[in-house]
Amino acid sequence: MSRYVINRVGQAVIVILAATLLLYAMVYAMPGDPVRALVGEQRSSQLDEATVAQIRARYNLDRPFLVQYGLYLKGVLSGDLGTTFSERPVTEIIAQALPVTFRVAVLTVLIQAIIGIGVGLIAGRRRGGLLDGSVMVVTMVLIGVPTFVSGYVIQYFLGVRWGWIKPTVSAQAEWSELIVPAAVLALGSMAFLIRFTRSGVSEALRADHVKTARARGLPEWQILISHVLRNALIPIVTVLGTEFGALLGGAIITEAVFNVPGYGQQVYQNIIRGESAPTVSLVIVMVVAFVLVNLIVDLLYAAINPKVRYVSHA
Amino acid sequence: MSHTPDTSQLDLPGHATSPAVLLQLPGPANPPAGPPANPSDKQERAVPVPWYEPDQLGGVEHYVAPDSAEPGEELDSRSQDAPGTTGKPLFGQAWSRLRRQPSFWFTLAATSFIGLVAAWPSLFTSNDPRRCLLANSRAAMSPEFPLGADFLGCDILTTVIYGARASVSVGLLAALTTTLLGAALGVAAGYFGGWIDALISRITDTFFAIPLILGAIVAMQVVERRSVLTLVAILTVFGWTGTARIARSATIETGVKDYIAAARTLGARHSRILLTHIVPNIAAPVIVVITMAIGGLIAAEAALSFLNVGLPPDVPSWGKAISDGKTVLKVNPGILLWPAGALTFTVLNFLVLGDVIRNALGAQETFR
Amino acid sequence: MSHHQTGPGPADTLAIIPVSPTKPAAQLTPASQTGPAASAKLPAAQLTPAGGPNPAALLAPPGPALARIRDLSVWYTAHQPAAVAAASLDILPNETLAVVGESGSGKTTLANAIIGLLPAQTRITGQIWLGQNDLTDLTRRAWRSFRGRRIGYIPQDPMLSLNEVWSIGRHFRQTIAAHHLAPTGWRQLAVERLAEVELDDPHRLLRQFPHQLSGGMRQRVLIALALLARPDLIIADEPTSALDVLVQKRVLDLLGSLTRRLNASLMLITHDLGLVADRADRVAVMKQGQIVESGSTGDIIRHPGHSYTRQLLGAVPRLSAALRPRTARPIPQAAPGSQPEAGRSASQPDRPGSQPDTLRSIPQTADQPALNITDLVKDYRLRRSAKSPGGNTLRAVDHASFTVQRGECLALVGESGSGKSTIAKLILGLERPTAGHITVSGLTSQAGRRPTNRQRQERGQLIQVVFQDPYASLDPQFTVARVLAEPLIVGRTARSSRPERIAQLLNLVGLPSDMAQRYPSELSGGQRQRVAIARALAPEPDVLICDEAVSALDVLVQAQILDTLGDLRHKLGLSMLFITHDLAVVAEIADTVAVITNGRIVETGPVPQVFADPRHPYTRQLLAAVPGQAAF
Repeated sequence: MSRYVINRVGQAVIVILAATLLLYAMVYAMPGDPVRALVGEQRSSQLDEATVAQIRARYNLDRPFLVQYGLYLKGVLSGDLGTTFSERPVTEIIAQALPVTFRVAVLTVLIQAIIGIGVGLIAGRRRGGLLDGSVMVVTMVLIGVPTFVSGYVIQYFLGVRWGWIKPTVSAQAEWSELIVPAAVLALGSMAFLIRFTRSGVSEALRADHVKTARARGLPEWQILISHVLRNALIPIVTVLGTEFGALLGGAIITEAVFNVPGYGQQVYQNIIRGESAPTVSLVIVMVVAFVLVNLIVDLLYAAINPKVRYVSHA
Repeated sequence: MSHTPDTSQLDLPGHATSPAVLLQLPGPANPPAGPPANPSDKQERAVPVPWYEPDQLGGVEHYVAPDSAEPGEELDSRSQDAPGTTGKPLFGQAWSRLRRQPSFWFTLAATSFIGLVAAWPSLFTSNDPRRCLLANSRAAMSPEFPLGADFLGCDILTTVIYGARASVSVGLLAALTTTLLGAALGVAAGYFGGWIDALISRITDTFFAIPLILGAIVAMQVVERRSVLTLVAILTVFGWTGTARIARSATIETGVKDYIAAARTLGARHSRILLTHIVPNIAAPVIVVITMAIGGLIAAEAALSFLNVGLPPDVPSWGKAISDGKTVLKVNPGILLWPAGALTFTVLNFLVLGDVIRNALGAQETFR
Repeated sequence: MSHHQTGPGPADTLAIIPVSPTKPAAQLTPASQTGPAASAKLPAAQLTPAGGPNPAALLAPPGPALARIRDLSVWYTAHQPAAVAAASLDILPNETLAVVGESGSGKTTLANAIIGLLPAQTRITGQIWLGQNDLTDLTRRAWRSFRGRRIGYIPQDPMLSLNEVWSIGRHFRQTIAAHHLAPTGWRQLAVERLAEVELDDPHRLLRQFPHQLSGGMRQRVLIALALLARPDLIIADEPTSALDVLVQKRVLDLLGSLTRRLNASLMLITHDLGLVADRADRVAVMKQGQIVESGSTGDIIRHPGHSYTRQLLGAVPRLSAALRPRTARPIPQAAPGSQPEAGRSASQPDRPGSQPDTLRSIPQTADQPALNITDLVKDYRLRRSAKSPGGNTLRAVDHASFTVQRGECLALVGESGSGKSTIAKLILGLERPTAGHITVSGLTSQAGRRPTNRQRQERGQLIQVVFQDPYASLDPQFTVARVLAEPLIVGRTARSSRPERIAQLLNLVGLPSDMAQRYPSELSGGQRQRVAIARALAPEPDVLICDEAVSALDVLVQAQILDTLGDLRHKLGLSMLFITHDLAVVAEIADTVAVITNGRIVETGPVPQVFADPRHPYTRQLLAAVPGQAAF
C-alpha cells in the first residue's frame, strides 16, 4: 500500500514539474518578446525603456531559461506567485477568493454525486425503459449545451424574467446564492456521471459474481448496493478526476456569468485586463490542483479496489 | 445461415414430439411453438401440485427421444456462434444499422445544413456582417432585421450565419488534427510498447494535466497573431490526449489477438500489420471520438472567444457574439440568445451524430 | 470399448464409429436396456426408441424425486428457437445427475431456470417442482427462501464469480446473515465451512481478497458458500472447466464427498463425458434444447440409444488410444546418444546453455530433424513488488530441450502456466529466448538478437502455427479469401495464382471454395479453425505448431479437426508440435510426448511407453487425473 502511494505521489510531482515547465516555457521562451506577452500588445508600445528593464529584471528575463524557471519555481514554493500591475500579490487574490470557491466546489460535487450517481443507478437498473431513454436524451442535451449558454439562459429566465433568484451573486457569496451557479457548473459533468454510472451499473448487473450472489440468496438491496454500485463506483471515481479538469474551465465561465467573487472570477478579470503574468500564475495553480485531485482520485481508486492495492505498482 | 444443421427440425412443432403428448397424461399438452402470447398461460394451469402421481409411474430408467439424426451431418455444422451475428464485418453491420435510424438521417441533414451555412453564408443572407450602423442599434425584429439588430446595429441573423464559418472550421480542423496526432501517438505507444510506450505515456500524462481551456488561455495570451489556424494549433496541442489514450488501449486490445501473432509468424512487416490489421480494427472508437470532438471543440472555441482569448475581434464568431450580448442580456436577450442557440444546436448535432455512430458500431462509451 | 477412429477418410464426413459394435442401436430392445425386472413392471417400456419416447422414461426409478422438471421450455427472444424445448427430468435424492451437451445445447439455460436466474425478458413454460413448490411461479421474495437455502449454485468461472472488492470474510458474512444461519457469530461458522472444503488457515483466508487466491481455492470457497445453508440440491455449472486437470480432480472429489455426506443431490452440468462416466449416477444428454436421452450412466455409456449420444461417445478422445500402434511415420534420424533409454528420458540434466553467437543458416537436408530446441531458457522480469523490492525474474522456460523428427508429431503436455505456450512463442519468434538454440529445418536462431524482417519471413516459410481461440485468430474485418491471401502476399506469390491457391487451401482443409467470400463471424468455431489451419499451411511449412488448437472446440468438432490434422500430416508429410493440456488428445494424435511443468520438461518418450509406464511422479499424477479412464 505505502509503496503504491509513494510511487503515485512521485509520479504526480514529476507531472506537476513537467506541466508547469511547459506552461512557463510557453510564455517566457516563445519566439518574440516576453515583455510584450507579459504586459500585452497595447501597453508594451507605451512602455519606456526603464520600465521594460524593470520588468525584465523582475522576471529574470536576462537569465538563461532554466534558471528563470528555477527561480520562478523557488518563488512559487516560498509563496510568491508574482503581482498584478497594481502590485497586488497573486497569493492575496487567491486567499481572498478561496473561501468562495470552496463553497462552490462543495455544492458542485454534492449536486454531481447525488444526482449523477442516483439517476445513473436508476437508469442502469432499468436499461432500455422509458425512463432510461429520456435520461439518455436529457443527458445528451446537458453535455451539449456549453456552460456559458446554460449559465446565461438560466440567469435570464430564473433571474431576470421570473425573478426567482438574484441574477448575480453578492460580494458575500452566501451558500444559498451559490446553489444556482454551482448547479450550472455541475450540469455537464453530472450528465457524464449519469451516463457513466448507468453503463457501469448495467454492466455490473450482468457480472458473474452478481449472478452468484443472487444464487446465494442475498437480498436485492444488498446486491444492488454492495455488489453492483460498489463495483460500478471503481470506474466512476476515475471519471470524477478527469471531469475536474472540465470543471476548472467551467468555473472561470460560470463565475464570470454569475459574478461570483471566486477564483475563476479572478482568472477572468485578469484575462480581460490583459494581465498575463498573474493569469499564468493562477492557471498554474489550477493545473497543480488538477494533478493533486487526480492523485487523490488514484489513491481513492486503490482504496476501493483491493486488486490495485495489493498487486499493481504501475 | 447455411451451417444451420438439418436437425433444427427438431425444434419445429409437430415434428418434435413432447413426451407429455405421447404419454397422453393430463396437464399442459403441446410444447409451445413459440413463446406464449401472454403471461396468462401461467394462470390457466389448473393443477397446483405435480400433475401426475409419482406412484403411478416409475420403473424404466432409460429414456431415448425420437431419433431423427441423419447420417453424416454437414461438416462442423454445429455453430458455436452467438446468435444474431449477421456475418458482415463491423462497418457493414454498422451501416445497415445506421441506415434504419431516423436520428442518423436527421443529424446528417443538420450537419449538411451547418456545413452549407459555413461554406456559403451569402446564400442565406444578403447583408454584410461588417456593415453595422449605430442608428440601427438594438433594432427590433423586422423584415430588414429578422432577428433584430445588436448593440452596434449589426443584423443578428447575419452575425449568426457568418459566425458559423469560424466555429465550424475551427471545430472540424481541430478535431481532425487532434485525432490524427492522438491516434498516431496512441497507436505507436500501444503497438510497440516498451520504452516507446513509456515515453509517449509520460508525455500524454503531462499534457493531460493541463485542461484544454486552461492551456488555451495561457497560449492565447502569448501568440502574436490570433487566427483560425493558431487557435486550431493550440486546441490540438492541448486536446490530443484523450484520443491518444483511447487509441492506445484499443491498439493494445487488438495487438494481443492471435491474428496479429499469426501475421507476425508469417513474416509480415510492422507497417503491413499496422495498416491492414490494427488501423481498421481500432477505427471504430476513433471515428466516434472524432465526431464527438467536433462538438466539443466548437464549444471550446466559443468559450475562448467568450473569454476574449479566442478569435480576433474582426472574425465573426458565436462566442464573440455571445460575449457582446451579455451586457444587454436584461433588456435585449435576443442578442445573446440567438447565437447561443445556433452554437448549442451545432454542438448538440455533432454529439448526437457521434452517439448514433457509436451505438451503431457497438463501441464503448468514453469520456472526455 | 471401441476406439475413436482416426484413420484416413474424407474430411467432410463424420469419422465416428458407433460405440459398442456388438450391440448396434437399432437392435436395442427394452429388455436389453433395463433388464427383466424393469421391463416386467412396465408394458410401456416395450416401445422401441425409434418408435417414440418411452413415457415412463421421463422418470427415474421408483421413489420420491427431489425435483421434477416437466415440459420446460425457455425462450430468450421471440424470434429465436427455444433454448430449452419441452424438457422433462427428475432429480432424485442423494444422486449425482449429469446434464451433458455441447455449447448451445441449453444445459446452462436449464440450470439457470432451476435457480431462477434467467434474464427478466425470458419466457418460460412448464414447471419445475421442488417438493410442493413450482419454482417457475415464485415471486422474487419467495425465491429468497430457495436460492442459497434449498438450492446451492456453483458457478463456472471461479475467477469472475467472487466480488473482487470484498474480502472472503465479507462474502461469508453477507450470505450467513441473509439466511440467519449463525445468530451468534458468523466467523466461527465461516471458519468451520472453510475447513470443510479443505482450505488451510481459514482465519487468514477470511481477511484475504479473491485475487489473492488461486482458481482452485476460489472454487472451493464458492463451494463452501453454496453449501452454507445445507441445500438439498446443488447445481454445479461446469464447475471445473476453467481449472487444470489436477485441480479439477481435487475439486470434484471434494464436491462429491460433501454432497454425499450432506445427503444432497448434485446436478452436474458439463461437456466432459469423462467426468460424467466417473462421477454421475445418472445422465441426461441435451442437444439443441432437448433432452435426447436420459438414464443411468453405465447404461447410457454401454448402450446409447440415441444416435447423437453415440456420436458424442464416439468422439470422446480416449486415453486408451495411446496403446494403439502408432501410424507409420518416416524413420527418425536417431541422433546417437541424444535419446537415452530407447528414445526416452525421464528428466533433463541441468546444462548451462552454450553461448550464442550469431544467426546462421545451414543448408536444409532431409536427414535433419524438423525442429530441435536445445537448452531453451526464457526469463521474464517481474515488476518490483513488496516481497522483492529489487525486482525479480520468473523463469518461464527452464533449459528445455526436445526434438521433433521429420513427419513426427510431438505433443508438449502441461498445465496452464507450465511454460508450454511460451515455448511455442519462442519457436515462432514472437518472443526472444534468454538462452538456448532453436533449429527449424536446419535454420538456427539464437538468443539475444532481434530477428530481422527477412529472418522472420524465412522462418515463417518453415514453421507455422494454429492458435487456440478460433474467435481471436481471424481478423474480423477480413474475408476468408483475404485471410488466406495474407501469407501469399507476404510470401510474394504472384497475384494471378492467388485465387487458385486459395481454393486449393480451402479444399485441403475440407471447406467448400464458396467460403472464400465469407467473414469469420459467418463461420462456426470448427470452420474458423479450419481456415486458421489453411492459413498456416499456405507457406507450405515443414513444421506446424498447434497451440491448444482443439481445446476450445466442442467434442464432435474437436474429433473432426483432429482427424483433419491427422490426414494433413500424412498427406503433406508435416511434422507437428502439438501443445495441449489434454492427455487423451495426446493419446489420439501424438507419436511422442514431452511433459512440462514449471518450465522444465520432466519426461519425454514415445506415447505408448510413457502412457503405459510413466516414470516421473508428475506424469503419473497427470495420467491418474484424466477423467473417464475406466469407461473409455
